[in-house]
Amino acid sequence: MVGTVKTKAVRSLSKGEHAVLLPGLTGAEPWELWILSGQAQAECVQICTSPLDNRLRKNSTLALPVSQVFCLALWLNETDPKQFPGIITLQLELRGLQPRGNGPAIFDWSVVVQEGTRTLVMVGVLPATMPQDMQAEVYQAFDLSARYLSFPENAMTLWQEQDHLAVAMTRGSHLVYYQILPEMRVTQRVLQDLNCIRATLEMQDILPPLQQAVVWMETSPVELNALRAALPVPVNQAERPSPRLPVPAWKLTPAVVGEAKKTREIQRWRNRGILIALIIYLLLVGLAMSQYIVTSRNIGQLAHWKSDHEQALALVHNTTAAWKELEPVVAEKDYPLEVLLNSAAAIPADQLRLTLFESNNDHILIKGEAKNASASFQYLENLKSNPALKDFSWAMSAPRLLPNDLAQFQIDGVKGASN
Amino acid sequence: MRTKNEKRLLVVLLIILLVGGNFYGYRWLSQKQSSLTLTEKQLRADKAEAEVGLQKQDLWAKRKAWIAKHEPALEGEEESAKAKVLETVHEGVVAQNLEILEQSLNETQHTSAGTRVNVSIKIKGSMEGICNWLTDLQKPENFYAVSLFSLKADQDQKSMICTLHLARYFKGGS
Repeated sequence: MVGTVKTKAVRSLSKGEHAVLLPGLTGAEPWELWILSGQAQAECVQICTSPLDNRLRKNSTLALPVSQVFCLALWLNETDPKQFPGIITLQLELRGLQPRGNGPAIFDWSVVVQEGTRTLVMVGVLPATMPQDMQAEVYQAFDLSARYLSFPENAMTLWQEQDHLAVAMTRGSHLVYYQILPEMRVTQRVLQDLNCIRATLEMQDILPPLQQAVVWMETSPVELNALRAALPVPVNQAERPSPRLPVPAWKLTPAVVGEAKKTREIQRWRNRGILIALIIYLLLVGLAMSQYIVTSRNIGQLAHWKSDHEQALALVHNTTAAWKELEPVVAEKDYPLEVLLNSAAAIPADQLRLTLFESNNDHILIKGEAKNASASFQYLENLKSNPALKDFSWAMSAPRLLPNDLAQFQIDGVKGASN
Repeated sequence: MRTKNEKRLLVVLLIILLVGGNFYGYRWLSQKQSSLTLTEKQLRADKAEAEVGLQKQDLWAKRKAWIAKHEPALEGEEESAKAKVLETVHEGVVAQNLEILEQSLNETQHTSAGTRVNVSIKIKGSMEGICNWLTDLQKPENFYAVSLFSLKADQDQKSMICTLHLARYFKGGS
């Protein structure tokens, strides 16, 4: 078991910096955490035994090893990039690279070159299953390790990745093909594979004639000579350059991770919904309670006001009630004699005489005999127009004519009723 | 460890409890609230009415003082008060040369203005006499009220017959 080796203290990311976990050269140091930025030199800040050891994993990209991403170089008879996903999917199905089950193939691509109506693309496809530690959900993005390396133009490049040999081919400055090789060292089998790859790509017009082969690792003179003998191009040895950010980034998120992220996102939205509903619920409860409290407080204040003025109010209420009861005593204008006097004053001269006057405070009944019916109506009008009797509403039924030509009438006055 | 089905059932149970609790809680609270709102409205209306009354507090105080000053006190039993009322009425009637046809004592009432002694009387006499008697009797400071006044000409057409329901208020007994 190899422990985590810290080359430098892991720091947090500054603005413009990007952390990438790249496969290491050997199994002893399987992962390297690099911090890349636009201007400054890339910096390796941590060696990890597993992607989960990366302390900056939440803000990092996991660059998948070449061994985990299958490469396919394709000529597409299309120049519209929007059509590429559909065409590539069909090509993957054609080649049996579509995973079993319902899930779609996880792939991404880069345009290598465009010639007339066709486009050469390099496609990276994820296998259906991957090692568990590479499906770390916490990583922000997933890309391909080879895309972080600057390969020489029109060259075949060999380098070491997690104890395996990897090869990359470039067309111009663009990476067009990569593959993991079966051996750790340059053997005859590796040389045969390299020639096969080169020949196949050249036949498919994917690879132009190579100008050189570059080895980014320590090799023995025997291996170097074997390479020079096997390949028809100059073979050079160089140090592997520092990684740099590829533009645009690939999105090779494993299906399991994508599913987990989607589930988590749904969970997050559900939690947010529940939280919002809870907040609204609590607000409504708070509103109802505050309304209840405010009303109770108002009632308390009103009751307090009432108790403060209890004595004065009792005086007013009791006196009001007593005064109302004593109205027939104190309201002189409503005395029966006053009403009788006013009713008598309304009699037209020598036109009628009263035979009955009855008053019970709210109701007045007047009976009499008039010389004729019109005299009784005249009397009614006089009563109505008398300002001293304005509180009464007067009504009279049709006068009854007597045998002696007199008109017998009855007038009712009701206090408070409108005319 | 709970199974997924058990968890689902637990959630359903919790939701039912929550919904039920909220339903009954809301009903209780809304009933309480509406009752409180009604009480508040009633108290506000009372306050508004009381404020109007309090604006005329001085007037009511004066009226109370006037009542206290002028209203006769109930001395002794109610029966003696009734007798006194009848006596006063009788004296007035006799003074105006009026004839008493009927007289009766009615039930005493206890009102907000005090004890109300009721009598009924039917008299006969001249219009002038009746008017004079009533004018003397019914003055605010005498505390006599006429609840029924019926006046009609007698058959002889010379005198009048007057039926009265009289009441006199006395302090106390309310």
